[in-house]
Amino acid sequence: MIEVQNISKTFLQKDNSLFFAVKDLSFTASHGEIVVLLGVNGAGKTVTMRMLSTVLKPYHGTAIIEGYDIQKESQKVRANLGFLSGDTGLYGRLTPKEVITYFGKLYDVPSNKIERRIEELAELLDMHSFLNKKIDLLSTGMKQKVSIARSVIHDPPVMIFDEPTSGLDILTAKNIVDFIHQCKEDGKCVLFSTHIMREAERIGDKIVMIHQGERIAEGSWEEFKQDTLLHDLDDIFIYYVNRLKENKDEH
Amino acid sequence: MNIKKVGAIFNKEILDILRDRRTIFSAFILPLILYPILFIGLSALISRQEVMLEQKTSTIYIHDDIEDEYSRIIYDTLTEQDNISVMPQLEIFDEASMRKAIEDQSLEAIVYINRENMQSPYPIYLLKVTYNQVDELSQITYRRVSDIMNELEKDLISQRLLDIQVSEDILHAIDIEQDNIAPPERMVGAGVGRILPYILILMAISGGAYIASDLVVGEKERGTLETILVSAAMREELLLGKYMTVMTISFASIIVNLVSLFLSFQYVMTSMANGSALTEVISLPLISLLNILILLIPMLMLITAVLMIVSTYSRNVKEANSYLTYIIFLGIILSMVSMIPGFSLNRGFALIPILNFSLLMRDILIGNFLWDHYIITMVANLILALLSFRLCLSLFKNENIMFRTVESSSLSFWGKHKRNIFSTNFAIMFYILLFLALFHIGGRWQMQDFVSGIVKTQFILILLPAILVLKISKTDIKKALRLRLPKLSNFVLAIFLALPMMILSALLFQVIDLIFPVPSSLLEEMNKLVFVSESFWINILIIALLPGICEEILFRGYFINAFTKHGFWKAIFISALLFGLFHMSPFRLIPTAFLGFWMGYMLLRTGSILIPMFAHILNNGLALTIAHYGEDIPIVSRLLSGDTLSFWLAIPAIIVMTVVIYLFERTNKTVKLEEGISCAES
Repeated sequence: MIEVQNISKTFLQKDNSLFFAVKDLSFTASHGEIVVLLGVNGAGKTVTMRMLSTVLKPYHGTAIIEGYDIQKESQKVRANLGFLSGDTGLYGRLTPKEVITYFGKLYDVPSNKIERRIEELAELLDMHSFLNKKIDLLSTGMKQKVSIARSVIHDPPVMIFDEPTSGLDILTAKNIVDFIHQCKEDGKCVLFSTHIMREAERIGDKIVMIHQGERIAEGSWEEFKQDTLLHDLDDIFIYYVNRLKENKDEH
Repeated sequence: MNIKKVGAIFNKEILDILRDRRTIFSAFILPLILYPILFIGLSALISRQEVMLEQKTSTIYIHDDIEDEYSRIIYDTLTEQDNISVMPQLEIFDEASMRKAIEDQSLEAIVYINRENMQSPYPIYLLKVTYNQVDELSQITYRRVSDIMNELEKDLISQRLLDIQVSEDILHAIDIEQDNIAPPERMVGAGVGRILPYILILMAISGGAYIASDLVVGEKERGTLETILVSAAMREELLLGKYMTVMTISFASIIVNLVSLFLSFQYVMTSMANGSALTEVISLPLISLLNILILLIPMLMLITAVLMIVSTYSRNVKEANSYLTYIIFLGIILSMVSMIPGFSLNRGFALIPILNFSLLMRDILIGNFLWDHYIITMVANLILALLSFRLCLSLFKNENIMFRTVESSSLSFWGKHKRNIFSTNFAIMFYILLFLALFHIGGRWQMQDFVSGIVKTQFILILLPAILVLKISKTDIKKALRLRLPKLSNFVLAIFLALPMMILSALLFQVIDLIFPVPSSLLEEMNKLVFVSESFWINILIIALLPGICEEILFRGYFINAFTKHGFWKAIFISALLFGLFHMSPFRLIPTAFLGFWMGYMLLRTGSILIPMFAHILNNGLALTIAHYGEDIPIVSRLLSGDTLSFWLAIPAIIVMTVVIYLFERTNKTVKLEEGISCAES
């Protein structure tokens, strides 16, 4: 369960003024639910997810993950979290098995359990053939599977995917999408970010649209369509962005 | 912190590194190949070359101007030698073309035979040997000729003594016999001790540098760092695991280097001595080696921590490598000190990392070191290592540093935008430029003529640049300089502050002299400053008035404004540090920075540059007065014992200073920091 409560993040600009990368953002994600953070590049998706994974500290507000506060109990939060992003790397000189084992140890998984879990994941993701090859020698698709396995070695109740499909071909991206659905079936709470409308539509149970760090809409596509009387996904998004602008101009 | 997890991180990093062929090669394989090649191969090559040269015949030409009995003997002796071939006599001796022949290496030497001291009953012959020092065979030829002639001289003298029936003993009155108590291994230690610290330190820095930058900033670049940061491991565990990895690999690499170096060295020495007595000579006492290894650990901890700081702080590997170059340079400079003859360790130097190790290691190898130096060195390096590790940890926990990969400082400074002369970047560059100008140009001027040099330096290198930079940037000069009349009572307070300020600064200098004895050349130079001229008033003009105005305009008029954005005390502190550094002497840094600090304080507190100017002039003037007339003023002469001040003077000085500062605070309650010019304004 993720409960984001009025979270904000600022960065200091060159002229010493504060820039809000995320502003007063709130939403929730429950178990067995896929929530999509949808926004253009620079909307604040990555910053939000980094705050949830406790590597960035919020300026205001907080979030509760599995009952733990991201600021006060950051280590427990991280222990309950699987994090996967599109641009994360792997240790090229190690084998998938070594990498996954390493992360198992970082997540305090007992040694005998690590082995069982690797067996499980290798089955699920079809990794048996390359489990003991050097990662440098693997294809992009294989590497992606290793990344997935690495992020769920500790079987976390909450999964965060930060644009995991960006830059991947259709077949590789499908591995991830399938895996996300698997997570949902397993009753995990999934947060997923993307800037691709179609992807958001296909995957998300609930969509949180953000623009310039602020939430501009929240709900399912059906609700958005009823609300805006529009059909095209892009048009719907632009509608909400314009509404934010109008609101700002009025103030 | 979970030690098991640190262990897991350590194991993984070691595994990862051991699979990196490049690291393995440069850390372990290369030293194993390099030293044998360097020592054995090179020395074999050198001795082969030497043998070949020795076998070569020298061609010489003998020009005999005397042609008497003895010159004939000289001529014949040289001709008889196997390795010398004497050119046949020429009809016409053309000196220029013969010299040319030596240069062209077709002739090795010309020997001129002349007679000296014609009046003496015993003829003395002068042999001039023309040869070419840069041509090896020619040089050997010179040696051959002089060796043969020395032998010949002995024979001739014996003959002369025999003729007058005097014993050869007349030539001997004192013989000297050497009895060196230094055991052979210590003599080797003395030789090795000069070069080995340098090699060790260089190995420690360069060995760890690559791995350290791979382990943090390398992971940042490859996108794997975030995956471990979001894991359940604590930052402490991650950093410690990585730190231990770097430590272990560099330590192992040093050991491999040392063993390889030692074995190659031993092989060469043994083969040179043909397997005889020298084998013992080069084995160093085991206890010395053990001491060095123990000493190495805290230093390696410090070096590793510094390398990790660089790696953590850098945005990318390229940036890290450029910082590492500076660190290697610094290490080289500090470690080269062990090669300076006569430079020895004391308690003060034992506080300076790397320098302490390099000097102490030399002492250990000679077999003559002091335990207090050993302990101070260990503790100093250990404390610095822990502090550095803590700094590294706080950087490792800082999200602004861990999540930046691109240059944040834009290039707008060089662009078309309006240039902000009060930006930190500009101020630092401007400072470096002035510093270099002072060093190169100011130094030369003062060497040519001291008095005019100082005047020129003050006007052209200090005052002019400050005015120019303010003028060109169209800054409101009056405002930037804080050129305004403060409350008049401030002048009175400045008078009261001047004496304690000067006393405390002088005492600071004395304290530094106790820890790091100030070289006498610097004292002489400072003395020269006080007595630039016979006339006291000209001294006041050049040493007090001029710097008081020019230096204040540069440091308190310009530089401090670049740092007021960091707040009142930080601005004062940074500008004081720059002021201290500007005096170009590590010994004077702290006393001058101390003065600069209070000048900066007076500027920002009173909001007027006139006060620090006045105080600066007063301070320098007071110092001059004491130097010139101190002995004549009864109270002052009592406080001066020799050239030093009594330390108890610090107590009244601090009391007076505290009161005066309190009064400054009360008098200037209404003055705001923003009354000058600040970064945001321009």
